[in-house]
Amino acid sequence: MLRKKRVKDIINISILISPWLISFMVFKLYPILFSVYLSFTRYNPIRGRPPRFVGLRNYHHLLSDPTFAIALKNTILFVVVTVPITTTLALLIASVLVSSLNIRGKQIFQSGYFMPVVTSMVVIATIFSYLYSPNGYLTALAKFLGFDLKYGRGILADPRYALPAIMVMDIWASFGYYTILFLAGLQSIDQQIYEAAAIDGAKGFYLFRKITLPLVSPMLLFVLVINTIRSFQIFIEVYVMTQGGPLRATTTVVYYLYETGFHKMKMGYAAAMSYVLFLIILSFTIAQKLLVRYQR
Amino acid sequence: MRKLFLVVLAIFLVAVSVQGKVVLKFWNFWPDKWIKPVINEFMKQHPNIEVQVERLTWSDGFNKIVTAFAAGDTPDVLELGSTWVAQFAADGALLEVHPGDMLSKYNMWDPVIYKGKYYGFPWVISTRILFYNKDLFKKAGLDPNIPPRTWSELLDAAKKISALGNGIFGFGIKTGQYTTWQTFLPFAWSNGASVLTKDWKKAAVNSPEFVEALEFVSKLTKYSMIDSNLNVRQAFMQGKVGMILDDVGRIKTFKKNAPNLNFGYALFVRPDKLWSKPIQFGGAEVIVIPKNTKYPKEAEMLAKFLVEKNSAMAISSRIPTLIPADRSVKEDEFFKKQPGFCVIMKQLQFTKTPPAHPKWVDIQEVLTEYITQVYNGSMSPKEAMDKAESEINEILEEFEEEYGD
Repeated sequence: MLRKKRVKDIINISILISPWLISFMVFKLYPILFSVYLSFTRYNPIRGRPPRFVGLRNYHHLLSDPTFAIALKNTILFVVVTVPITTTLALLIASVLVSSLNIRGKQIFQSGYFMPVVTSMVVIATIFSYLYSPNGYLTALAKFLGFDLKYGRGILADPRYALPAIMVMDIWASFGYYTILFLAGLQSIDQQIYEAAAIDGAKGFYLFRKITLPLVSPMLLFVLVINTIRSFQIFIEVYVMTQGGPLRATTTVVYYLYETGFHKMKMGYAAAMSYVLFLIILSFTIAQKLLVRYQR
Repeated sequence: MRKLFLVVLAIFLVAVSVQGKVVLKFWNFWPDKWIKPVINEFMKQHPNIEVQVERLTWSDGFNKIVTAFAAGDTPDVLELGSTWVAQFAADGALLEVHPGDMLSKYNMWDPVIYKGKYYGFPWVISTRILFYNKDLFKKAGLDPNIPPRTWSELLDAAKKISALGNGIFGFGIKTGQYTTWQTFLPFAWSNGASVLTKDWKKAAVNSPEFVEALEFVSKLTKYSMIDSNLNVRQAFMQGKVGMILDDVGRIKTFKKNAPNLNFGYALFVRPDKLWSKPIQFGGAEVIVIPKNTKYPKEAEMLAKFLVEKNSAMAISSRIPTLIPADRSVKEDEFFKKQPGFCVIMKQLQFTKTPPAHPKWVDIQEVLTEYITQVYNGSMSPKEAMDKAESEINEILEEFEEEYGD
């Protein structure tokens, strides 16, 4: 009798989650698994021939592809620079916003930081490409600060500065999202803990380090993980602003795999790239998780 | 469950009853409001054919096309940019078409020819001309009514205008993934050079003519703004750039969007040589028929109908940048009234398209890289083009291995 009820429950549950489950399997799981297979094949989507199995050749080829090496280098540089900056900035601003400091119009700031997040990245990138153009304000600022830009060229046309320029834009555009996440995390900390610590004589930064940081660390892990994943997948900014140029200075892994798959029609090779990226992101995520757990 | 079964049955029955009619799917990039009247006219003339129109977006339309081909679920008639035709044709994704006597009546067949066979019909075509700022010409002591005609005149004008200083550039060089080579190649073509040899077996980018053209443009960079297409155009509209190369249709949009800009336009410049011609980049939107179509005959009928002048005017009357490939447009009253039509028709006589090689996507990437190296001053033109030549040759060899006869 009991078992019968259980089976019935399972059936009911399956029916209830089936809208999500079916779409997940059809639109996510199947493509993910199919691209594992594709990554071991040579496949030109418009040629009307089935994918041809080539074993590990795509992966082998990746190891000696100089463009992929550049793309990987650019992507890792992007992650290593932007993730710490956005995370620190977001935590800092969130702490200030949640603190007892009397800031006028706190609400305005809160929503202000979030504005770029709800703005389409395409719009932001287009506006910034104007600001970075030879006559743009940010180019003028860079020249004033002593950047050595060639005649008639904006920041994005210079291979040395193009990637940092995109990083600056991305930091500006994305830290607001993490600020909101930290705000939620900080507001859930019980005020009584702070009061108790204050009675014991804890103050200022010490309070932040010993009370706030450990208590917000689950949120910190979450922010680090999604921030890292998102940064590894940087694409739209590059697609809109530089198309990977000048001289591949801004080619990222996702941009390169898009170009390979959809412009050069090498779907198998592109799939292999996406799996390498997947493994890298996976290992970074695990490492971050271990690190935060160890610190706790 | 029974209800579901009934619904499925109903759909099936409807599908079967429609089968009597030939149903063609037509994918294009234009608003339905423009295209629908043309399609309705076609359906009126051919009552046994039903055409379903679907609009693709410029941002992800191409991805959708590639996905459709991969899935084998292609439309029957499809609009493609001219540079894509060769790759699709080489991959056997397109049906050969039979233009017959249309060959002499239409412009711009080059991009649809692959190995001597035709794989599409040119629909609307476009080219670029020289735009210049008359006020800046006056300020720099140049005659605003005499635009530069040759390379040396262009360089001279650029020099004088950039000497005005104050954030003013003499010329605008556009760069970007597909922009860098599109902006540069016309200089090489005008100088008698080409990217590949006649039989497309070898690269020809280190020929003296090609290198000479690159030397000239790299001289120009000293007086030019170098940026994306959008930013260069924007700066020209703000009166910050003396001369740019842009689509012919800008004659109209500059007037509308930059009413204070006092600009003129002229044919592209030619090298300082006897008998040289100002050859510009010619692009086209092309109608092709994917191989999977069930109704090749009807699809070709629709394709031929679409490229006729009267149908193409659905686009051209709204965007005069894009001119019907149909040569009878010369007599068209609407176009005769368009400003600068004379210049446009003249420039259209001197157009070229990049080689319709299936590996062009890879080749243009090499070109862009080494042209950028020269613009940045990190390589000499000769050195860069020698390297480009060997890299392009590698691509060509790889292609022969993969696709060879």
